[in-house]
Order: sequence, then C-alpha cells, then structure tokens
Amino acid sequence: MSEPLASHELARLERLFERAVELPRGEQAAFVAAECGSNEALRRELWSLLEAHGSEDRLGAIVRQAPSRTGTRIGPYLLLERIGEGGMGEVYAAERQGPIARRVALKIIKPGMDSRQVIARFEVERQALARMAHPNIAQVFDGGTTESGSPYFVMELVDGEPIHEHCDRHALSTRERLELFLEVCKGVQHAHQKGIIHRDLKPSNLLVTQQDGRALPKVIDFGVARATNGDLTERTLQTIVGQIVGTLDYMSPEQADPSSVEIDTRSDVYSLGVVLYELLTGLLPFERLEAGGTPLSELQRARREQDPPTPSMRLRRQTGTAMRVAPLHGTDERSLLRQLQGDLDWICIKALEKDPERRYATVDALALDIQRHLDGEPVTAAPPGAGYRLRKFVRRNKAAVITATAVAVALVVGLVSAVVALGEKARADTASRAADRSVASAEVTSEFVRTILMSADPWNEDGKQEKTVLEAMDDAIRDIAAGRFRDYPEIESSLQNTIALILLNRGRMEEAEAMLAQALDTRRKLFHGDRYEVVQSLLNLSLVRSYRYGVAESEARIVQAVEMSERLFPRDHPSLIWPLSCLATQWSKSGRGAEAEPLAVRVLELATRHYGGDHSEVAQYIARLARVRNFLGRTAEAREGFDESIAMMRRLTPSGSAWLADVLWISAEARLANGDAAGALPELEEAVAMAAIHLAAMSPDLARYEETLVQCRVKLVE
Amino acid sequence: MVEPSPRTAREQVTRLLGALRDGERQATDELFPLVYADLRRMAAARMARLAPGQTLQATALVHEAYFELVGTDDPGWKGRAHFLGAAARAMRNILADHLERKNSLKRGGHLARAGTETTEGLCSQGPSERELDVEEALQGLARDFPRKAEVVTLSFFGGLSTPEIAEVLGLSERTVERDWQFAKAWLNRHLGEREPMP
Repeated sequence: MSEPLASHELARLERLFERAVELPRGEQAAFVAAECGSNEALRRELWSLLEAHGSEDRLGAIVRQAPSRTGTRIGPYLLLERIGEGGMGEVYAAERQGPIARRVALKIIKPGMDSRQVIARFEVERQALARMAHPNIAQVFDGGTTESGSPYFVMELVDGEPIHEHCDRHALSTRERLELFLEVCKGVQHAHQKGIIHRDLKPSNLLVTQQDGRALPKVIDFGVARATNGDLTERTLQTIVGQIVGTLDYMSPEQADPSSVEIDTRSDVYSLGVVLYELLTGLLPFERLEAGGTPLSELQRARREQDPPTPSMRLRRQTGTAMRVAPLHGTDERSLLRQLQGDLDWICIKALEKDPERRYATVDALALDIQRHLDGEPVTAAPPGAGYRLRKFVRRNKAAVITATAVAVALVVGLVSAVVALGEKARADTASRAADRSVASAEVTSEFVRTILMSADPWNEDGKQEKTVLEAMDDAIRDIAAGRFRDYPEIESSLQNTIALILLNRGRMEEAEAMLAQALDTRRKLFHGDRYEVVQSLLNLSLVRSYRYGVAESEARIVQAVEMSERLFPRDHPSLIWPLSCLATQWSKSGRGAEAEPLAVRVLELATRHYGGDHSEVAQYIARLARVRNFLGRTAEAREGFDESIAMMRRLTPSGSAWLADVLWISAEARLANGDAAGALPELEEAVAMAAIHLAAMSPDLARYEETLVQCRVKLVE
Repeated sequence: MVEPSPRTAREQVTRLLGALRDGERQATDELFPLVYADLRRMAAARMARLAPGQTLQATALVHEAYFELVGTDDPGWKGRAHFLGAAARAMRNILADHLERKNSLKRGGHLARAGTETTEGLCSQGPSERELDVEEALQGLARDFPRKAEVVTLSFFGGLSTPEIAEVLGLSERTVERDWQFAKAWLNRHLGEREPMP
C-alpha cells in the first residue's frame, strides 16, 4: 500500500483522476507527470488508479462468478452442466424431468434486475414466442423465477459456435458467408411475422450447429432481451459498464438512445447489418466501444453523428486487417476487396442507415437484396448518389433549411442535386472529354444556384429590399427560356421538372404543363431507350394533364411509363410503386375497377414491404386501394381501409398534414358516392381546414377539396 | 420456499415506502432496522440449508428480501430504490460482522490452528470469500471517500441503477457516474493487490 494522502490531496486526486480518464491512454503519463510534479505519493496513487481503471474488471468478475449450480434443480429442470457465462447470467445444459426427458438450455439471469418486471415483460410475449417454429430459431419453451428470485428462460439447446467463428474457422468464402447469413435472416423474419423483435442480435446469439451433415445457423435468446432490458435508464451501473457495452456495438441508434420511445423490427435490421458487416470484413462498422475512458453518452453521440465507412473502404484503410482477414475468407486481399466493392458495400450501408425510414424496411428486403447480389441481379441498395449527399447536406444544415420556405427548399434542392450529380458524374467519367463536359455543366449550374440565392439576399445590387423566392424562380424560368442551358440538357430538364412541380402546387398549371412537356422532350432526345428520368417526366406530365383535362387523356403516357419501369426494374422494386399506382388510379377512374383492384393490392404490398408499418406512403396506398374497392361496391371492406389509413396518418402526424388532409378527402369522397353526405361533411371540413394550412392557396388539391365540400353541402340541403 | 415474514413488518415497510414516495426522507432511517432484522433472519435460515461448498450470495439475498418484504405491492421505482438501498446497507453490516469474525479467528494464532474447520465452515456457508474481499476493500474506500463507498454499496449489493442511486443519495446522475468510475478503479486496484496472495 502507498502512504496515506492528506485530506486536501484526496480531493485533488479525485479531480485529477476525473480529468485523466478522459484522456487517451497515451497521453495519461504526460498528464500525471505534469500535474503531480514532485508530489511522489500523489503521482503514484493517481497512476495506480489509472492503471486499475484500464485493467480487467475484478469487481465485475466477482459479480459474475456465481457458484455453479450444477446438480441442482430449478422447477422441473435438472441442471447438468454450465455451458456459458456472460455479463447477463449463466447458461446451463439441463434436462427436463418427467415421462419424456428432454435436454434444454436454461439461462439464469443474474441478480440485480427487477425479476418481477423481467417476468412480466416475458409473459407479454410468451404466447407469441410459443408460436414461433422455424429451423433457424432456437425455440423458447418456458420462463420463470428461481427460488432465490432470479428470472430464468428455457430454450432449445443449441450445440454450436458463434457465426463469425464458424465462418473463420472453416475459411468460408464471401458467398458461403452470405448464404449462411440468409438463413439467419429467414429465422429473424419468421419471428417478425409472429410479432417478436429480437433486440439483441449479435454473433454470440447466432449459433451455427451441424444438422444432417450441414451447417445450420440458429438464432437464440428470442424474448430474453425484451424481458431483461426495460430501457437504458433502468439498467444498473454494473450492467452499463460491464455488459451492455459489448452489445452496444450491434445496437441500432434508436435503441441506444434512452429518449427514443419505441423500436420496431427495423432495429433488428440494423443489428443484422452490423453482423453482416463483421462477417464480410472481420471488422465492426465503427471502432469497438470501450467501457473505460469516455462516458457512454459521448460515445453514443459520436455514433449518432458518424456515418460508417463502406466495408471495402474500411478494409482498404486497414491494410493489415485486410491481409489478415482475406485468408479466413479463402481468398487474397485484392479479390476480397473486389467482392465487397459495389453491391455489398451499399447493402451494408442501407442496413446501417441511422434513420430507420431509410433502412431496409424488413429483414426480407435485406435478404432479397443479398439474394439478388448472389444471383447477379441489380440490387435496390444504391450508392450514395446526389440524393444521399443532399440528405446529409440537409441534415447538417437543418436549422438553415427549416427557415427557408418550402418552395425555396424545393428549388434549391433541385438545383443542388443537379450540381452534385454532375460533379459525381465528372469524377466517375474516365474519358476526359466527357469529364470536361460534366465539370463545365456542374460549374454552370452552381453559378446559377449562386445567382438565385444571391437574388434572395436583401443586399443584392438590384436595390430591391428582398426578392421573393418565387420571383427568383421566375428569373430561372426566363433564363431557361433565354437558352442559358441549351448546351446542358441534363440540367435544363431537371430544373424544368423541379420548377414545374412548384408551379403545379401553386396552381400555375398551364406553365407547369408546358415546362413538363419540354422536359420530357429533352429527356427523350437525351436518353435513348428506357430511363427512369423519362418515366418521371411521363408521370408528371400525365398528372398535370389529368388535373387540367380529366383522366381519359393521360392513359397512354401512364401505360408507357409503367412498361418502361417494368423493363427497368425487377418485379418488386420500389421504383415501380409510383407508376403502378398511377395506372391503378387511372383504371379505376375510367371504370375498370376490376382490373385496378389487383394492381392496387400489388402497389400496397410493394409499399408496405418497402416502407414498413406506419408510413405516410403506405397510408396513401391503403386509401387508394379502398377507393378502388368502393368503386367496385365492396363498401364495407373499403370503409375498413379508409379508417385504417386515416388512423395511421393521425398517428404519424397528430397535428395534421397535407397527407392526412388527402386521405380524409379520399374517404369523404367515397362516403359521398355512397350517399352518406352527413358522414362526409366533418371529414371534408377537416381536410379543407388542414389543407389551407399545409398547402399553397392556389394548390389544385385544396381546390378539389373545396369543390367536394361544396358538393357535399349541396347534397345535405337537398 | 421462503418463510412468510411477520405481517406487521411487511405492513410497516409498505407504509414507510409510501412515506418515502411522498417525500419524507427520514423514513429511510426507520426503514433500515426493519430490513436489517429481516435480512439477518433470512441469512441465518439460508445458511442452515446450504449444501456443502455453496455460499450465500449477498446480492441475491438483498433481492430476496425485497420479494419477501414488499412482494407484489408495487412501491414505485423510488420506493423500490429506497428499499434496496436500505437492504444493501444492511447487507454490508452483516458482511462486516462476518469479516470481523473471520479476521479475529485468523489473528488468534493457536485459536486459528485449532479452529481451521470453523474458519472454513464459516467461509463456505456464509457469504462468499470474494464478497468479504469486496467488503474489506469497501471499508478502505469508505475511510477516504465515504460517498463513493455508498454509491458502490447501492450498486453492487442493491443492484440499483444510476437514476435510482441518484434518488437515494440525493445526487445528480453525473456525480453518481463519476463516483462510480473512481470507486471502481480504486476497488479494482485494492482487489488486485490481494490477488497474488498464495
């Protein structure tokens, strides 16, 4: 023991320790030397504390080293052998006593948690857990409390090793790893269908066992995480410091955020993304979270703000790791990087999106993309193009963006994305002439953006106090008309597209139509064959024309857009949602409801798979399907759909939105058609009031709502 | 099965936890002796039934006491925190008694030789050796940093979370986290020093 310190030195020791632990390990020695000077006793004391801080957790080890219970009995189970011990508790191989003896795994949660809550939470899911039956899931049989009050769980005994150890030990190739991972996805997806979220997916919960001579992955511990983790704030210090940290690496941002309310199946998608990343690279997407040093909240904040590097990028940065990892994949460094680059990079990144809305909506969607990659088909995960960069720009500049009006944002966003896209194209282009051209057009656009933004500056040389954004837009329209972008048709058409939509939403339909027609023309000349840009233009144009001239006129364009999209994308690609839904609306409005119905069902399925549960897009397509069914006279079924859609939007936007106004209107229109004007009235009044807040005064949608409201009042008077 | 505790004790505990929830902090002092008496009784009863080689788990016992004395009448999280806090302190008292007895046995040379069996008996049937080590280290910590030792007591023996400890000790959560970090390093070092002993 060192000699005792004086009491004022104890306070100093405390303060110095607090500061020193925040420092990186390498800087601590210098800090101690500088702060303690010649006070040898203080120096020694501080240094030994810092060393103890970084060394193994002896205190935690004592908590965890419970005496073995082998040979004892818990309920009907006889404990045979301790097979695992972790931060959370111990796992025993046990035998269920009784007429049919059965070997099971029994997991005893260590004391320190509120057993009643654990069991109460387990009971909530018990029935659902019992309904799970899947070869890739270790079935959960039972749960209860030991005599001394510790909760325990009983599940299928899996004799296996964690998935990444299995893969490395057998030097599985990337393809073999993906195939194994796909089976994991099947298990998790099955659980999701039964309403069970795992919440703690990580390699140690994904065991690979041998069955009939082949490797079979099994997901264990379903229901355990839900039961034992209330939320972060409920957890004990020991838990946070000692055990959850290992799990944090695999935890979705929303799950690690103590303030987040609910997590859903997309949280499991994230965890699977981390597992996949690790299987492919041998590395976690982020540096491992260390318990010592930085406070947990700091680490979590950093995690929330950083975007993970793509797997290939991460390996490229750590060449040592790549050299070590490649042989474990039965290949060399260069082929490994080549395999990861592209599809697998973007699949991982899409699964690891911070915003659940941007992630794969379901585990199935993730699995499907991996399957597509294995089959050599195009995947839905896209490289971070203009849109991605732009979202990041918006995320970084949120305050600034919110202060601008929606119109300005739309305009600037359209322009900036054109610039960014061109910049990327320039970098991607290898032929120097094409590259020069792209750089030149990027410059033209950014110059244009600059002038527009400048014109909104109150101190510009125009002398006018403040140009409105709409005036700036009119300038842009004039510039286009004057041929400023004649040599840069890509920019011209994307500007026209953006501006036309703004014009449309402000009721300037004639101009909008002209602009969209020009854009379509330009794009058709520019892109030969099938292009999504052309699909976009076709649909936008048909939208305006249906507002102006009614539905019949636009069918040919919509059909063309649908055919083109079906050639461009696989059957279940999310880019098909919009064209197909336009066609369904078109058919149902032109009296072909019977054909429209299955199409509307398909659209809703696509949208649900792509966006997941509650989502404004999903609500729209539910309402649209209901409308088709109402046309067909299936009114009861239709009513259920309308109500579901409205309820979903009310959950999503409790204080109202253009989306909610829209579904209210669709629902009211159906009521009117069914002769229920009294029922339609309150919905229409709400829709109009809401649209007046959320839409521009001249918006064609608002006009439609108002028109319907007038019809409704007339019907009521009659 | 656990023995039913005297009805009156349970009622008193429930009343005190109610008082705590309503902000009467002095109720904590009244809670301690009640819980202490019960924990002693439970510990003795458990020890009598322990199989050879098994030891009593202090933390488990604290939680068992909670079940027995509070049971299913939910006292809210604050009530629970205060109860477990009191129980954790009571448990440390019991451990301190054991430690005292163990050390006095070790000190008395001929007594120790004559009573080797007694010492082993005590250790294997009482609290585990490691828990006594923690108790001893904690006493050292409490001499210089009493508040940090309190934080450890509540966390280690009571299994209380950071917000719960903050509530019981009337500290901010940040302070609790800092105290815990320091105390953990301090105890880690102390426990490490003891380890190489043959």
